[in-house]
Amino acid sequence: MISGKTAYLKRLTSRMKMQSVDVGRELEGSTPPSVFIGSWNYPKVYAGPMIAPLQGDTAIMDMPESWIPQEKSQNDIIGYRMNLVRGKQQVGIHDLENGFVEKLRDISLASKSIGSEAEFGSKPRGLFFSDEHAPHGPSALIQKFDIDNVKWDHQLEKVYYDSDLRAADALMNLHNKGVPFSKVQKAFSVGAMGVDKRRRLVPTRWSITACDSTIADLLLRDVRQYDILDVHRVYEFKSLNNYYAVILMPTEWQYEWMEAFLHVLGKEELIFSDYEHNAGKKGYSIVGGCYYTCKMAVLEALAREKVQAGVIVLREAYNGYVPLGVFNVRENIRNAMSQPAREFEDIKTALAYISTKLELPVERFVKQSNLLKEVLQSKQTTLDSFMSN
Amino acid sequence: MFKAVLSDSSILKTSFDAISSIVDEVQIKADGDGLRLDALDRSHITFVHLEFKSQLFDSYKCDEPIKINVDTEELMKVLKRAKSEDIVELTVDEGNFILTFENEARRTFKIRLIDIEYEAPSPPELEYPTEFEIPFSLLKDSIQDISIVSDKIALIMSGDKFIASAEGEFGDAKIEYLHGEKVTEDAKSIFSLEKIREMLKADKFSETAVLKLGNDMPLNLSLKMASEEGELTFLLAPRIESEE
Repeated sequence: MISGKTAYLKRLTSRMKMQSVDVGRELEGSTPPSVFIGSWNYPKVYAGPMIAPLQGDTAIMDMPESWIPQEKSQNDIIGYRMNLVRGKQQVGIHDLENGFVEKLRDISLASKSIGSEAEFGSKPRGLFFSDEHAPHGPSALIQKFDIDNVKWDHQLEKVYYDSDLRAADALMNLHNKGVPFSKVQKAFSVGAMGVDKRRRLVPTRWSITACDSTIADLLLRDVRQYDILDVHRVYEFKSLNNYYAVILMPTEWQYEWMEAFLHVLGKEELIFSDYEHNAGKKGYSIVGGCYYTCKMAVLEALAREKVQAGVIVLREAYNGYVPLGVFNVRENIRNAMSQPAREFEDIKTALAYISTKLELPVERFVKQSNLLKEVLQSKQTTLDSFMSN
Repeated sequence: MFKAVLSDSSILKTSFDAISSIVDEVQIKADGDGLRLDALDRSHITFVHLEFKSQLFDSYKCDEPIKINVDTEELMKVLKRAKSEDIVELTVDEGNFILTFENEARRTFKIRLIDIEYEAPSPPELEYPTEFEIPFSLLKDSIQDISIVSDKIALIMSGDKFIASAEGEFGDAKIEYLHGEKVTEDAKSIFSLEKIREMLKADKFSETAVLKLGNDMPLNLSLKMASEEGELTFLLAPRIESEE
């Protein structure tokens, strides 16, 4: 199945006919701040800054958290991303003392956009789309790179200097203090947190899932302690050619993620899904990083409300959908969870409601599902229902 | 004062291996007769009862009844450090449950007692139409067999056979066992495999398991030591199939 979804998204992204920004070998601009660490040739990876050929505040270009709340259109977002020029140099993941890597760390810990100057080995070309991380514009090897003075984000700085603090604790710490995910993930990817000896560069796509799944696991530890919800609830959100429905069920923690891609390429109607029972998931999800992103975003809401529930998420992506990275899932789910919920008596009435919003017949989701099918077919009882009084 | 000495650590280890995967916190009660524990998981799906009679211990002393409230995960971490040839000594002080493992060296671990409002749960009292014994290893193997095809397991009493079966999307599995009991009524209940697996972690407790089954009734799984000095019983709520 992974080849299924990966291959499908590859086909989608390979057909993107877009223009990235046209810049020369020398670039004077601003980094939002943004860095990108490639995964190719790991552990000797291509790392570098992303710079827009603009002056001043470019923060929005690498701040996915603000795109949906500010109602940015798909074109706005693609516009931001195609304006980001990626400079790169090959570095070993442990080579954190390297002057170039130190500049990347400065960027990742920065509290705002930084004036930057770069000289590339050749004219930056191309554009890049991925199923996991946000797209970016042209890239080239970077030969000279200078940045203005940087003021560090206070929270990130504290974590950076605490070389006894485990990376997982650092992540949770920053998350609890409300530091935006994209900032935390960037700092994580340049090896700016964790126990001293274990610090290293982490490719951007891996760092996103590492942050999502680490935060999700720690949130789940708390959520398992909370009382179980007493109704069925449905949360929904629609944006960027996507519809999301989150069903919370009055059961202990269990989770299923289902996503349908409808007529994005042509006549295709594809559903991909993955799930976990109460014990959690072993091994990497067959649907990729969005599984963990969505799990994190739902758990964040459960932890906030101090309640435990079983979770089933349905997503439909429609014609016009462009893969923009898993942030798309994270922010849509976060927005869904912050809307008022609808309450239902049971899973059937909840599904009946959602079916009025879906383009695909809901039976198609049921057929593809594991967990949803299971809760429809049979219900876990509690011992309370066998008490004689 | 309370002090109990046990020459075999495996019985504690195997019991809490299962218990700690079901409940986070427990209250162990000690009195002149021995140790006992009743706990219900947070979702009210599994109930567990553990009893160690004072005769089970090599030496046992408890002047007045006490309650030992502990985090099961912390207790399990400590028990994992015990070797099978270690002699285990259990005591308490003001704020700790103290476990000492004695062999070449004397190793002492203190586990902080926790502050919980704990009302020992009482399980539903149920009358079962069937009761029979099955080798524990066979039960455990059956669960492994079923897990290939499904996340749910049907436990069935049909005439002289005990049947464990499951239907999955990609295949079915069925295990039949002649139970050798006089059973007048058939019974069938469905359970979550994940939940059964938690109970079966206690695989060193006893070589045989006593099962009680009914129609859409909780599973009663009881492990009794041959010496009858210890007992570990689970009650697991069934899954019930939707009508259509």
